[in-house]
Amino acid sequence: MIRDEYDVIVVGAGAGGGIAACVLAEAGLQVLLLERGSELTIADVGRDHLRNQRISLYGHNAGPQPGDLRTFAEAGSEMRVLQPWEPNYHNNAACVGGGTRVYGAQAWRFMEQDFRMASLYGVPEQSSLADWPLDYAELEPFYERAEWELGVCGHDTANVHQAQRRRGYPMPPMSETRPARILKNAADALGWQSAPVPLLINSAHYQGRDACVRCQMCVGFACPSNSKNGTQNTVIPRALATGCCTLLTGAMAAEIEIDGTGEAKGIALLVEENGSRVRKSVRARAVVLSCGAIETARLLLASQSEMHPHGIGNQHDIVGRNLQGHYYPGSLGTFEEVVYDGVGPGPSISTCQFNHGNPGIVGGGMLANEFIKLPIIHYSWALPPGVPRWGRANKEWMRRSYTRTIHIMGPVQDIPHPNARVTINSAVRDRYGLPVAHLSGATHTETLRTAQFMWERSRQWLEAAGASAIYGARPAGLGLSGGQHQAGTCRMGNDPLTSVTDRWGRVHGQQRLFVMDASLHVTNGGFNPVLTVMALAFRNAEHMAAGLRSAH
Amino acid sequence: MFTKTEWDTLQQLADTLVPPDDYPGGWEGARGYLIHALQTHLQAALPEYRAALCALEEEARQRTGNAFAQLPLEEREQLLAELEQNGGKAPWPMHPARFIARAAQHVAEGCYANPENGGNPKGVFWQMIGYEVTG
Ligand SMILES: Cc1cc2nc3c(=O)[nH]c(=O)nc-3n(C[C@H](O)[C@H](O)[C@H](O)COP(=O)(O)OP(=O)(O)OC[C@H]3O[C@@H](n4cnc5c(N)ncnc54)[C@H](O)[C@@H]3O)c2cc1C
Repeated sequence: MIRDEYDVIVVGAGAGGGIAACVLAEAGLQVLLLERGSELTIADVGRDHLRNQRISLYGHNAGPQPGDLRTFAEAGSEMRVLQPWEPNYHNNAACVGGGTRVYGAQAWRFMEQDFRMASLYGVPEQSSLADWPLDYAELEPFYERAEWELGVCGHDTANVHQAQRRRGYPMPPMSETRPARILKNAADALGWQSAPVPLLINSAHYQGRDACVRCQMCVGFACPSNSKNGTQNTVIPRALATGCCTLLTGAMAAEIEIDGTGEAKGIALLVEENGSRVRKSVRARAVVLSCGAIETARLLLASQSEMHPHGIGNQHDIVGRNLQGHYYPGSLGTFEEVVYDGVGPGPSISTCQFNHGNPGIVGGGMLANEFIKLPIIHYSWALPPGVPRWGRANKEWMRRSYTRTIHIMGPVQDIPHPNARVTINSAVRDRYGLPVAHLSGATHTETLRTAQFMWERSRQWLEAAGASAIYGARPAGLGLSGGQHQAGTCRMGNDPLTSVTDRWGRVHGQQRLFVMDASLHVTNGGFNPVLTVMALAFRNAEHMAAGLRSAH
Repeated sequence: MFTKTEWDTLQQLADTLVPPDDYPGGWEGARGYLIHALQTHLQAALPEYRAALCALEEEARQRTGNAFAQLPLEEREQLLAELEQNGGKAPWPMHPARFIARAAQHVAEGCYANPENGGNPKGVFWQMIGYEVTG
């Protein structure tokens, strides 16, 4: 049972929230960790090739649930109401562990340059590109904590262009795969740096759990050998072990409650009790929002009152803006010989040659080879031009190509646009009866230019690797960028006029309300974002714990 | 769910979309999946399937005098290709190209997804392409 009051309520048990709960509970604070989803076993997540967080044709395996609606409107088109598994919902998983329960676990540090994009490149017209209020050096020790406390395997040269790291990875990279060998030779021939992809996966026994069994169903699924390190099997158990943290699942935060001065004083949440839904108010000395970039913005915006008519922290209309994720350009190469060896998880070689320093381009991106594909994904997404969708030629292509294809792709630095945003849509209600998040806008044109540039680099790499045919559409069109890499909706900054939180994640104008998730990212790097979410959560939670302890 | 003729047409349609050779065809590969899916998550598509299978049968009879299910593979392929290109004369519930694309997707789901979904018996299509789940 839960109490009426805690030191801290953390909303959302994902990447950021799991770490926040751990750091705060280990500091001796009483923590209530709320998660709308549930604790999912490996069997709960299952191995359904049609319903997972990679390809969700008819549903999901790790939430959100049917009825957790959102609405979406592209420029010039009508608003659509979407279920979580539908395109344009911009989903991330919703369960204990959040995205980390089923993620691909690529464990990238952002680069030194990624924290000062505006100074380095200037601000493209109409973009809201800005520097972070902290630099790489300040975050570096916390990247290290994330790498060691969750567990990352990799090689110290993963990114030679990176500013220095104090300490290597706790585990060596996994053994080289066949595609990695082929692509390494090609990168060498091109004069490009390459290295194994760092992964939040055990390559050796670590912290009491076994090494990866190299299976073929990693991304989008739970790990069958429990070797993939999410918050659900690392920091959340640590938080619970302190005896100071209560994890409440099936608990939907509906609103941030305020006191007479407009300060956050707790959370109104919805839980099932004896088969019916009840609303409860829980008070806390501090509240941490870690719901992911779309849902954190939604919760702030939905918490409206006379004192906060446009939502909390939104006095300057910034909450929910600058939604960003990653365009993910790439190409497929067909080879004459078999290039597949069935050794998972897949991403085994990368290059950071083009993250910065590309003439005429704002930023850049990392490229890596792709996860082992589910066969139905190969059928759905890897069809080369000229091959029909059905018939003998299609079957022949499936039979021959599955083991003869290499797919290279990577996230490009998103150039934020203020109109790419989350707002509240009160006309549509979710299964709790709450107003839903409405998504609209599109990324900046510079993002598309970078994507096109990186698409060309992916072709170049495959060509050097000896692919006999290279295909995959050139990125075109401006769309909303968000999805699994969603970030940016409550950016940090020193100026309350242009940011939502201060440099510690505290909401401007609030003493006791914090954000600790991907929403804080001012920019989202040319890398998968989760290690940065984790590092920031370690840093900010430590700072917050120190503040709360000294106030005791 | 379907009439006898509709079943026959569906079977041969599946075997045109994924023709049997030294590995099974679409019917063996997707039969179990389609039957289950059309009663569950693809239930909404069932009326379209019925209408489209009737239309396909009518097109076959008009053009060749034979049932679709009686035609050899080459003629079935040709008929589908023509319908995709030029549309049909029978009352289709949607453009035949759209129905064929959908049916191809559904048959592929049966053949290439995990056997627990009702198709891909014993993972035979995975064996064919070289995909194996270890661990
Ligand atoms: C299939 C997949 C693959 C991925 N692969 C990678 C990768 O290889 N590398 C990488 O860097 N990143 C990857 N990601 C992205 C990564 O998981 C996210 O960047 C990360 O989880 C974001 O952390 P977060 O704390 O912002 O939010 P999340 O981890 O999404 O956590 C938010 C949690 O809050 C809960 N919540 C939301 N609203 C409420 C509410 N009102 N009340 C209670 N609870 C609430 C949600 O249910 C969720 O559990 C992947 C994601 C997925 C889904």
